[in-house]
Amino acid sequence: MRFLIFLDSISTATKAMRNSSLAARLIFFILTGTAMIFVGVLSYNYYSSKAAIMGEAKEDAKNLALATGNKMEAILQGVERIPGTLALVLEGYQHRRDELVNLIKKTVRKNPEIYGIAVAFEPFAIESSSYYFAPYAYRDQEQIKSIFLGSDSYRYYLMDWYQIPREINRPVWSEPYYDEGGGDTIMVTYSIPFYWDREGNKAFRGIVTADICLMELKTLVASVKIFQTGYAFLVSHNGVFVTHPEQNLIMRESIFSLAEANNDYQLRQLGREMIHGGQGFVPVSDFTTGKKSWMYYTPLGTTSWSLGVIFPEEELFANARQLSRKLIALGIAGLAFLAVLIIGIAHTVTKPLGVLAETSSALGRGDFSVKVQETGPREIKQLARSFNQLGKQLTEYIANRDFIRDTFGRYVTQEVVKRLLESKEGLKLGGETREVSILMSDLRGFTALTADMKPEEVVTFLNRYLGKMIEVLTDHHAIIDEIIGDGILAFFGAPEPMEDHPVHAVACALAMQAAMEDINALNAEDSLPHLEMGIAVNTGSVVVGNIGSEQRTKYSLVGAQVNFTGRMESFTVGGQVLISSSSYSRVKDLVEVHKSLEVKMKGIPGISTLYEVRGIRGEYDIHLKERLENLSPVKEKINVHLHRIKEKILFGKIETAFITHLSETTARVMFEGELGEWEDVHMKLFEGNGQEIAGKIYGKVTSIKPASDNLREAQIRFTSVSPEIYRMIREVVAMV
Amino acid sequence: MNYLISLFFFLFIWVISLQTALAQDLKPVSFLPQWVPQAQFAGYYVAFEKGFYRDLNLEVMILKGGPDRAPSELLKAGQVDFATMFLTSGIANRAKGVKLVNIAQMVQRSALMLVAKKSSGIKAPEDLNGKKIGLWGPEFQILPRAFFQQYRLAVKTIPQGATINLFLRGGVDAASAMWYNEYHQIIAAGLNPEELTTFLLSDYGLKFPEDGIYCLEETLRRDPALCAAFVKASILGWEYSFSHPEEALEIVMKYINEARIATNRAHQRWMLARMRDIMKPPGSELKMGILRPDTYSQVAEELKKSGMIHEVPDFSRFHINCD
Repeated sequence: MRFLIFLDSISTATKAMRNSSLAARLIFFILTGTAMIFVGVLSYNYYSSKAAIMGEAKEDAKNLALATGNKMEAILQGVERIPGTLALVLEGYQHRRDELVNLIKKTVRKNPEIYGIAVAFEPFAIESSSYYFAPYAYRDQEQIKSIFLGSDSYRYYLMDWYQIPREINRPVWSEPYYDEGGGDTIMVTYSIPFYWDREGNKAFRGIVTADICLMELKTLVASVKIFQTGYAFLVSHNGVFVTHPEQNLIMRESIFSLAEANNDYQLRQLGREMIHGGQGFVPVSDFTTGKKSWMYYTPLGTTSWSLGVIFPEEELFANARQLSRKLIALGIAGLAFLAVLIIGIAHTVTKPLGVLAETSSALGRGDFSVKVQETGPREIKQLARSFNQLGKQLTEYIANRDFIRDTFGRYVTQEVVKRLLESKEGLKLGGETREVSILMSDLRGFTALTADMKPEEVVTFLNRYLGKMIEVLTDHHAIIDEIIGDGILAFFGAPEPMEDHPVHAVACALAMQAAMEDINALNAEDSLPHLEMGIAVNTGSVVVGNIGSEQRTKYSLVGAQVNFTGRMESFTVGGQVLISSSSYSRVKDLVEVHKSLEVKMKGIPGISTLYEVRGIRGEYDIHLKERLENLSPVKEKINVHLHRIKEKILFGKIETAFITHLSETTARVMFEGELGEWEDVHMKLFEGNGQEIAGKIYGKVTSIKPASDNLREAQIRFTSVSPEIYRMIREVVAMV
Repeated sequence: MNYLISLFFFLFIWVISLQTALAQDLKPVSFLPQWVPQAQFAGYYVAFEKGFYRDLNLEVMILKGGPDRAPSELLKAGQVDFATMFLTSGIANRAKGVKLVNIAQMVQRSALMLVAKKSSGIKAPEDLNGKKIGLWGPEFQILPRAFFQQYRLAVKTIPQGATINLFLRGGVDAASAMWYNEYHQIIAAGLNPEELTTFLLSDYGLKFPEDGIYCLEETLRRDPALCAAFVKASILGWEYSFSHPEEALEIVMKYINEARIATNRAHQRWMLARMRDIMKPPGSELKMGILRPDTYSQVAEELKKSGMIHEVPDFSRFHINCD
């Protein structure tokens, strides 16, 4: 039961341990375990040494009792011999009265251990006249005196010393008694019957006695010392205490009276064992102190007395207890030391763990530069190393991620990347209808311009342009949907909602046009063609979202407004920003419109009004430079061939045509043949001698009106001009 | 406070003067129990120690009894005023012509018994036939002999001394014992009651009262009130002893220690309890101090039969009820 409670308390403690520190756990479990082992070992040691001590003590007590008993028996046997010899003498010879008195006086004198000797006869045994005849010789100080016992007041026939051996026909030691003088001297008498031969029969004639003083035996018993307070005692045949350290017991109490007074049945049994000549080692309560004690008892030869050697158990086990106490103290000290040791060890484990925990938190906060010391036990070192590697890997990973994002961002807009990287929602396929502003730009005649360039040149040329444009677009938070060659499709107002997206889009378009000046300046330095770009801005509802499949997805937009913007874009000429009426309605208070044009678009019913924007006020405040567009008459007409282009395919050629007027951006051409407004044309210029001028020039027919004769007059806005031709044009214009 | 002190002082003076006055009236008497101090006489020691005698104006001196001091002798010689004796002794002395009277029969039953070891084959009275039996002096032989006669037993009697050692050592098959004394000594020498066969003679129709208080006729004639007072106080002492046994034992042990008697409290406790059994026998209505004429006749006739007396003394002159 007690063990179950113990287990229960362990489990309770274990439950309580769940949220405790490592040190507390180690201390609890190791100390509990160690303490249990210790207690077990100690208990075993205590009980086994107790048993060993008990065995030894039993031997000691036994030896002591037996040795004392033997000494006493030797004395008593010596005493027994004297009346024994006397009895034999008396049986062999009929003494006269005086002879007998002399004999016993002499015997007493010769045997100092004997106090007195009596020879008591049966009535009328010596003389028919005397009923009593019992000479008694005894010591009186140094003298030996003699008297005759027997009178009406001392009828020795009734005395134990006479009657018992007479009736039982054998020698007997009397119960101890106080001497006649009434002193403290305890006496005991050995009586031996003697007989005479009467008509062939052995007839009882009398008793020889020897009285001895128990002083010597008492001293002998009192000399027995065992442990601190252990002692020996003697009880008579009746169980009466003859010697005992406690004087009050002597001759008054017996083992049995003590047993009765204390209602101690076991003590009574022990007493019976003792007076019946038993021998043994038994636990008892001390007769006077009541202390738990052990006793060895042994009979004392012919006396039927019993000698007991008794000692308190606490003294017996005092050494064992003291040793156990020392061991307990040592054990507690050891456990305390162990506890300190465990705390130390736990500290070496938990300290780096604490550092790791702190560092982890730092990592969690994004500080990847943290490092922990790779010290301590091997496991901890490994952990620290792994941790440091984790930090390193995380740093690499984050760098990698940033690299991915940046790289990604070069291909798609940062906004989209951010959205994709930061939320799982960003990757969900599907879309929504949103009002956005769409921007489309394109270089005029780029394909033609680059046809003769080396691929590396094309890329450098294109990247210079696209780099600048993307920068401007990003600055204006545009989402670049697509870059195909020189064309850009971007939009504003998704995925992040954007207020005033038409304003942003228009401002962005103006900024892009403005940036073209820088590009062209750089191109001029590198002898690269002059670029002209057209931009269309439209505002309308489209579907935006992740379009594609799980393998390939694009945040994009679809809808009629996208196509409409594409159409619008085809109406632009270099340096122009055209916005739709829906955009215009949203920005009209801010923008300055150069002119508006009414166009008929393919696939779009009705007439669409487009506005050419030259500047925006307000926050952006961008205004495009006035371009030199005033046509100046050329001194000499420049012959040109006009190659009509539709969908990038030459489908017609006008050979009768010449430039009459020229500006940096536009030429007025008189021609003869078929040519429609908004057609793209490839112009080939010829010198007066019919030699073709090197370089290319593309343009868009912005207006056609009839002229004299069969000629018609067309305004052609340049879309791309090769550098050498651009140089020539500027020379010509400058000359005017 | 002062008032209280004066009051106590006054009371103190009054008590002292009263005692002095009483002391002047105390009658000195001597008393001899028939044996050495033991619980057999507890009532008298208690009456003295508790002041019951003094309360009745008696200045009692309790003498130490013993084998060398026969109460009848000392009474006859006028050396003691009161003494206890067995009824048989009283009758025998009266018959011999000693002018003593029984003024109170204290012990109503006999405590005399025969004890044998079961191991000697004695389990019933018949088993005593042919056995060695220890008997005390003549007046202790009347009952056993009547008992032997009752069962027609032929036994070998051995004179028994003062101890039970002869019995314990196997010198006799059965021994005489007083229930309150030797029987317990046998027990206290290690024999268990179940190992013994006992014949308590009063159980065999032999109801011999024992201790009684005696004085000379002369004493009674001179001062009957004195005798009555002694008896009354003695009975009070006994009643007190029975109702306060431990206190009585304490008193008895004090006398025992003074007399250096080799005995112990356990033994005296037993003795006191048995004294109660024989002085106030359960189921008997006999009061302490009363001697009934028929009982007297039975005992006297037995004595006459045994030859200890020749004539039965006149009951009315033998027992005088002092109440």
